[in-house]
Amino acid sequence: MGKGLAGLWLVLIVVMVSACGAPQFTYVANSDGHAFFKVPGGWHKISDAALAKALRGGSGGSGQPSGVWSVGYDGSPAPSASHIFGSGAQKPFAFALTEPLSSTASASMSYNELRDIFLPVTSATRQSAKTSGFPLTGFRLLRDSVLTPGQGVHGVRVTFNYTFPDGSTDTFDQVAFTNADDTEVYLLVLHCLATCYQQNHNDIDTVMTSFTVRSN
Amino acid sequence: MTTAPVGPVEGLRPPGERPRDEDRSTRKPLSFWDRVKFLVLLTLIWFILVWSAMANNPLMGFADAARIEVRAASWVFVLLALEALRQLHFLISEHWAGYHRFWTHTVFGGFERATHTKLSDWTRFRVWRLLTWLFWIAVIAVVIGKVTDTNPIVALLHAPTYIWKALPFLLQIFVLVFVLILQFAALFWFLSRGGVDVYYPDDIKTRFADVWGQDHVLARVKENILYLEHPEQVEDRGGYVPGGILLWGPPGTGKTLMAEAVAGETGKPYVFVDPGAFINMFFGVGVLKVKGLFRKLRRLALRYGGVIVFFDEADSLGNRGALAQGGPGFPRGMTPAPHQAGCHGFSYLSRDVQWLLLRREMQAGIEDEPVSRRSKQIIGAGMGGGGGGGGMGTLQALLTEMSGLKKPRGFVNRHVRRIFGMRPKPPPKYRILIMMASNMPEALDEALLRPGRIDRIYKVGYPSKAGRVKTYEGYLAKVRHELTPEQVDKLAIITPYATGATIKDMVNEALITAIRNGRDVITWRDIIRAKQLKELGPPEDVEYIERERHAVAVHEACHALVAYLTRQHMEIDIATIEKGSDYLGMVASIPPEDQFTRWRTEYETDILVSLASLAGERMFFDKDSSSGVSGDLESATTVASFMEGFWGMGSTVSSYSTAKRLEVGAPGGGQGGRKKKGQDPEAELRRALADRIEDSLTGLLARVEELLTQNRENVLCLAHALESHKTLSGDDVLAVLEHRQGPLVDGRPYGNAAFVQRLEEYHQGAAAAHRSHSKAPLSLPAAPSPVWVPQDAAVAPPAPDQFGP
Repeated sequence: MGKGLAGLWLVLIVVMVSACGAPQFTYVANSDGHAFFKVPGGWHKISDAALAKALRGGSGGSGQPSGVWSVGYDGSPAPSASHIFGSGAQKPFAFALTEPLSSTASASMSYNELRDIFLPVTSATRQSAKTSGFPLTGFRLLRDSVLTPGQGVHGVRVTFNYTFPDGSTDTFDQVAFTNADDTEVYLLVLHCLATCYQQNHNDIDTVMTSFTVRSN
Repeated sequence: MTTAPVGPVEGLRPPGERPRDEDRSTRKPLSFWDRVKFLVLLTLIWFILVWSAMANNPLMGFADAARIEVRAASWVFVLLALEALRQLHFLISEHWAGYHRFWTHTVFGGFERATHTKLSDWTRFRVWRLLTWLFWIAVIAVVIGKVTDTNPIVALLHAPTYIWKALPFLLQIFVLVFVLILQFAALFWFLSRGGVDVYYPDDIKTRFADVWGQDHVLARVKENILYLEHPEQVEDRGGYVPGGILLWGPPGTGKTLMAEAVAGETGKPYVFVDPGAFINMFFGVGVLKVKGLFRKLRRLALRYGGVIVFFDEADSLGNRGALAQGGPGFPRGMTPAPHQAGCHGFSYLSRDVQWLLLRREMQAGIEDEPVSRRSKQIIGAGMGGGGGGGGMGTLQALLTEMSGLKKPRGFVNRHVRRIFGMRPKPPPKYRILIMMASNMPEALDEALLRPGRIDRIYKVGYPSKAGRVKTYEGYLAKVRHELTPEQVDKLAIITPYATGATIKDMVNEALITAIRNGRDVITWRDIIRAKQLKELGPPEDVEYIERERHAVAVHEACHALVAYLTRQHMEIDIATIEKGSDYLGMVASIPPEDQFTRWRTEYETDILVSLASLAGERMFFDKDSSSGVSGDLESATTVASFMEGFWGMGSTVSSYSTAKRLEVGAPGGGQGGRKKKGQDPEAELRRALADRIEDSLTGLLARVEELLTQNRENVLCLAHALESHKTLSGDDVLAVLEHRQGPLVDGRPYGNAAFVQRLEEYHQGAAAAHRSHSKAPLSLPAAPSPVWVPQDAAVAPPAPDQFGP
């Protein structure tokens, strides 16, 4: 009896000790539990309000359209929502978004649409953006691959550089998925200075490959 | 107010109880499982939470999930720590007596003492109840808090909102349950209908004047109706109106008619309860019926100022067995069923003796009547059966309703008024007269018959002679007849146990007889024919061979003659040689007046009449006799045995049954308990009694022989009349013996000496044929003058006869 009791207490203590310390990653899931990714434990979450403000370009208003979910994580020790579109990010900034598609958007959905979802990537879109005064220049595609993780979910991962007007070049890494019937789009974008991208290549790849969509 | 136990209470432990924990100096060691069960449980819960986190996020590994859950489910660790502390406390208590004593006696004991001294039992109960409520509210708050991701207090504040939101769902469930209940309620409501009929004044045409022959009961019932209609006559003087009447008695004596008359006479509604109303398929329907019935009664009583309810065949309500009864005392005015021959219902005896006798009677009853008693519908009417007709609970519900009329009723009256500090209104005086009728009063529950429920118990017995006369007059008034008042009186005499129903039937039968003969006026002859038909059944139309017919006629003539000569307490009703289903012929007698005691001389004459057949056959057939006398000897011996052994009418006084039971021996007989060698005391006893009975019978037989020898001609005359007409009424027998005109037979030819001589010759011829088993040489002599006389020549009832024994 005594031995059993001691054994049990030992197990408890081992479990408690092993459970001590911070978790390695922060695990993120969207509100309806369909999209997941993880970021290193040291990254900070941007508050929903600040993120929403940054997304609307500081135009105020309240809340997000229904069904839209977004989240931002900043690797910088001084996290800020402005890093989402700002140049010269010394540390990676991750932004994720899920959004239902209207029936017209759903009908015209393609891999190219997914590539161009955050910034112009395909040449046609870049051309039209340029004519309409898009400020970023120096596009350079580093990676373009099609992803089909299963359950009808499909998408693209593109990595590219853009030079901001102030001369700093950022590397953008983007994964965009849509579900089997093209009714929802899932996006994860991460960017920082090209040098930062090089330095944190492993962490960034872990974050980007962790992006998982479960279609129901 | 409160009592605090000071110090340990000395005393015996209940059987099988272990030594009390107070007897130990340390805590009783826990088993291993009891030590770890909560720790294991909490650990399991934590692992389940980790698993749940991993399952919810495909990216999460065990290590990270565990680290996350250490923070997210820290409450598990708090509980684990508390449980570990508790187990540590127990462990110390198990090994350290001082520590254990400190906690049990000082801390918990002190708390216990303090609460017992300061708080009453009721207050402690309420505080405990309050704490229980708070505990569960806290648990619910925590759960809601967890579910909604808020803190428990906010969750509790939001609880009404959640309840409000859940209300449609709760309502759905409530409706579902309600529909289910409604089905049952509807079913029971439907089943509990019926069996109760309400009649309003003037619905029923029967009046008290239609009830004949029960004047004494009727007078009492009328009195009850009077009090129902004018209760102030009794109540103003401090009394109360009797609320229940039981009418009991043999079937057909007019109980239901009386109740109908009550309905017809009263100005109040009359509720008739069908005897089958309380026989139901489902448990509880009877109770609902009773409740529904009394609700209706109360309503009617308030609306019309009174109501009468009549339970016909009240024995169908059943009883709860002999043990529920008050013992052998039996309800007032009744004789216990098994003890029919008792004097005054043996109520003058002590309680113990009553029980003793009742037990013996019932035992004897069960042994003697294995089929008839037990096959009755109400099982357990006598012994401990219980249950009964109405079904479980019906009788009890009825008892409660009958005595519960004075309680305040209604939800508003009892509860809402009390909230406002008002006392419930006393109920109005419901004037409900409960009438019951039963011909099995012993099958009724005694609780039903107690004063307050059934206040008055009336026996509706066989009508007295005056009652019968009135009843005959009543029914005869409805048809055309030629009967004189004297004949009606005579009719009442010769039908001693007639009830209203049998009288009605007999008058009807007489009418049918008259119509069959092409008349529409009932004559005396029709009545007598109807009576014979009713009592003897239709004749079998068997023709005897002549010598046998003569033997049967002589046999019956001997009975009739001895009855005529000796039996002053009875009148001959009928003499017949018409073969029936189980007899060759018979002489039946009836008491001319209502008589309630029997005397030694009467029993003696009964024996004389019984022995007349044996004596007569021996005398008329040269010492020969038939087996046809067996029944006569049986009754003669039975009566003689009772006279000798039971009734103190013989040469000794003591009771044979008691002597046998107690083995005390009999006068001049056995020694009872003190047994001599080779002697059977009971055999001795029996021999002594049998000898005395035989002596008595022999003496009586000699008397009969003497009587018959003196009246040889009369026997032959009677035998001739019987052979000629097969059936004679009592008056005809008298007419033959007194040589006058009777209702059916002219007796005058029997005064003719020459004719009597022919009868003697005929008899000699028949006796000779009997000996040689040959055909009788002479045919039956015809009477010299016409035997048949018209109906209007019927004689008046006979004067007391001149012949003495």
